[in-house]
Amino acid sequence: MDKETQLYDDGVHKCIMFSLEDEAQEENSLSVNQFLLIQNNSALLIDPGSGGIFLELFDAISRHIDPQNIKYIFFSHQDPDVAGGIAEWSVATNAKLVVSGLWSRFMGHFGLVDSSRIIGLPDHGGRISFGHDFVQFVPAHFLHSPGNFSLYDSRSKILFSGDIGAAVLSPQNLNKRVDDFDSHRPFLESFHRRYMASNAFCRAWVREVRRFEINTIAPQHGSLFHGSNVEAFLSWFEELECALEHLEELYLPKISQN
Amino acid sequence: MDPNLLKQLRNALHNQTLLYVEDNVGLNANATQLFQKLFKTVYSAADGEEGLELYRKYHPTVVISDIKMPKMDGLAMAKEILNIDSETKIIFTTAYDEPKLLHKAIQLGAFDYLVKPMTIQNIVNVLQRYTQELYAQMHQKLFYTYLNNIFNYQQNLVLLLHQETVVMANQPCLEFFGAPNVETFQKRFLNFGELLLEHSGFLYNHDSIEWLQETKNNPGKLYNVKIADDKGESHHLVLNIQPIPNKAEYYVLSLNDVTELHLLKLFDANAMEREAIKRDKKALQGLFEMAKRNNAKIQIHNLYKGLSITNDGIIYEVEEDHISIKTTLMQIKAIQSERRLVLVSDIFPMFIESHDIQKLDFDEQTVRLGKCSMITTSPTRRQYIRVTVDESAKATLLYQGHKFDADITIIDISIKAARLTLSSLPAGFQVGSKVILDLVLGTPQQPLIVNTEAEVFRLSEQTRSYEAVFTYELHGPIYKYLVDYIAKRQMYLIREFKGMQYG
Repeated sequence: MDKETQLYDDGVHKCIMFSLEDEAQEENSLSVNQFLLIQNNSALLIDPGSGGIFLELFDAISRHIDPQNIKYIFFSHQDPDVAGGIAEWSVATNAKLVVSGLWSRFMGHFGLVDSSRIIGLPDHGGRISFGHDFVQFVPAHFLHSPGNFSLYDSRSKILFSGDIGAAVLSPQNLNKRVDDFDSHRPFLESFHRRYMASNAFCRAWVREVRRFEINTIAPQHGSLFHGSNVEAFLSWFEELECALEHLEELYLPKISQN
Repeated sequence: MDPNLLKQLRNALHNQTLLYVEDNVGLNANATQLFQKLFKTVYSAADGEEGLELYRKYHPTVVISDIKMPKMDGLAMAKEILNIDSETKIIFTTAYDEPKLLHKAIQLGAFDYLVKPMTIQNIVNVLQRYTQELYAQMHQKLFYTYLNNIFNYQQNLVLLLHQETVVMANQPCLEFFGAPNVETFQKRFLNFGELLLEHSGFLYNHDSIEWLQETKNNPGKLYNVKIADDKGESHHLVLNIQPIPNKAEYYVLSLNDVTELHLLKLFDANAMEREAIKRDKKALQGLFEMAKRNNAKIQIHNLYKGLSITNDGIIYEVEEDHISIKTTLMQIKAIQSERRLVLVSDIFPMFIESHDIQKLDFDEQTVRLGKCSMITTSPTRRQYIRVTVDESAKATLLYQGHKFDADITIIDISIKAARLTLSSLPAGFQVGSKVILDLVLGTPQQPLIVNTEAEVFRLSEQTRSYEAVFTYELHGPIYKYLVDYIAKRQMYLIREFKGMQYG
């Protein structure tokens, strides 16, 4: 598997995917993806992962752009495999760190007590515009984290969906693209059914992202959805029954008083 | 049928009144009985004339009526009713074989229709649609009532924007711009950008900034603007745009007139002018007053062993000889430890510093500050994270090929620079001098050795020693090891800071 894949390049705007695994997790490969958007001489880094891969990712990024030019680092949510390396990245760059407002005050636990470095996103999300292009932070709350965002890049038309669409053990992860949605689906099912809070949130998220024209959905673990698989995934996700719909699997039934 | 559905309908309709008009006596009695289970009151009539009479008397919110009836038919009655109140919702009952009548009913403005013979299911369906409509209308009404209230209780100039059009503007706003009504103001607003006058540090249209785009991109951020009123006098206002949740492209724009605080000069690029006013206690008080009135978010900066600790706060009290700020417990702890602080805000022209910490209240989460002063560079705002080093860390210097023999201690380091104290300086040593800097950091078991070329960036004389800042460019593994060291050190200092006791 390549550790680096170019997802988009039109000469001005570029998107690179890195697939670096935390060595501590080597035996159970999580098929983690990190993403870098570059336009002109500025960059945005998406879900850079734990402190364990900091050095390797820093090196990989340096081959494309001086890491000092990373203007924003976006953390879709607070999980350690997404945001564990905040302390390292805050030292190595002077980027603004973008994360749900829900988590910004928890950043001290990751090693940052300087709130002037953090942009805490409000629940409805937000947008960073550059020229005619923009990146949009799309609400994805409770899918699975209560303060969670996806990121849409208007130029490459890639939706970076965080844990939504993640599949860890699919054979199709080897080349990081879903070729056959139906055979990939079982690997999506187990994870999403347990981790996602409720179908109501799935629907709300699908409604939000359908406002945008999407060529690719790029989750933080596993394979990417391209072309017609984007719609196949959205239609599947929209109908997905998750934790709330299977409450009886998580909690014991009510004890009868009779 | 889902029993919950009927329950929901009853909940939605229990404060609604219905007029039911039907000339078939049996049907009228049966249906009335059903409607009575759902509505607060049901008035039933046998023809249009009687229906109209009851309508005039009780003004029900919804009417269900047959079309073909003696004396006055349903259509004639509906026309009269809609003349009285066009908001009344009228639902006709009609047979399949009467498409012409149905067509007329629609033209008249009927809300919906029920096909005869009526079933409970289709009655429920129609009433559900009606309750949904009610719900939507109520929300719309609440939305506008809410806005109206906000607008009219404000002394600020407030306007509601939809995309780039003014939907509403309050009286103070119309008066300020000398517009007799919203329509006139709307036209003037098309060129609102031209009304924003150029002033240093203020928001106005220029090459890289278009005011509306800029403010929409930064909802909630406060901007200083200068606008001339209808008499041509310049006013200093604080502008702020907030999007309305769940209403795409709707924004509330507010302008707070702070002209009487006489702060315009403070923002002037003219340094002489600025220096003079910096010493003016009143100007500082004016700034605080402006921040307080606009509920401006300010940032409070502190340092703990080089670690930058920053949190948001607000100014909630401004008095002759002191101000009070409210902030997080963590920040109050940092202020207690450092005995000073720096205040930063988008709407301040400079940083504000205070060493006069008069009172720390951990219960109320407030800090009272006495004397404050304006400073142009903040000693706490840093491009790169700096930390103090561990106790065993050592530094040596090689200058012009010789090891420099003096007591050297490391104050703090970042990935770009190190700040050292030197007991003495070698001859010719000055800003720009090149040295070889050798730093030994970390534990003796796992030392991190940084050996690099460095340049003297700043040099200052202290009472018994010198302080020098050396800058360097590290590459390769050593750069990353230093990042790792600083990150870990930062984490350690955070734990140490958090472990300190209050009070």
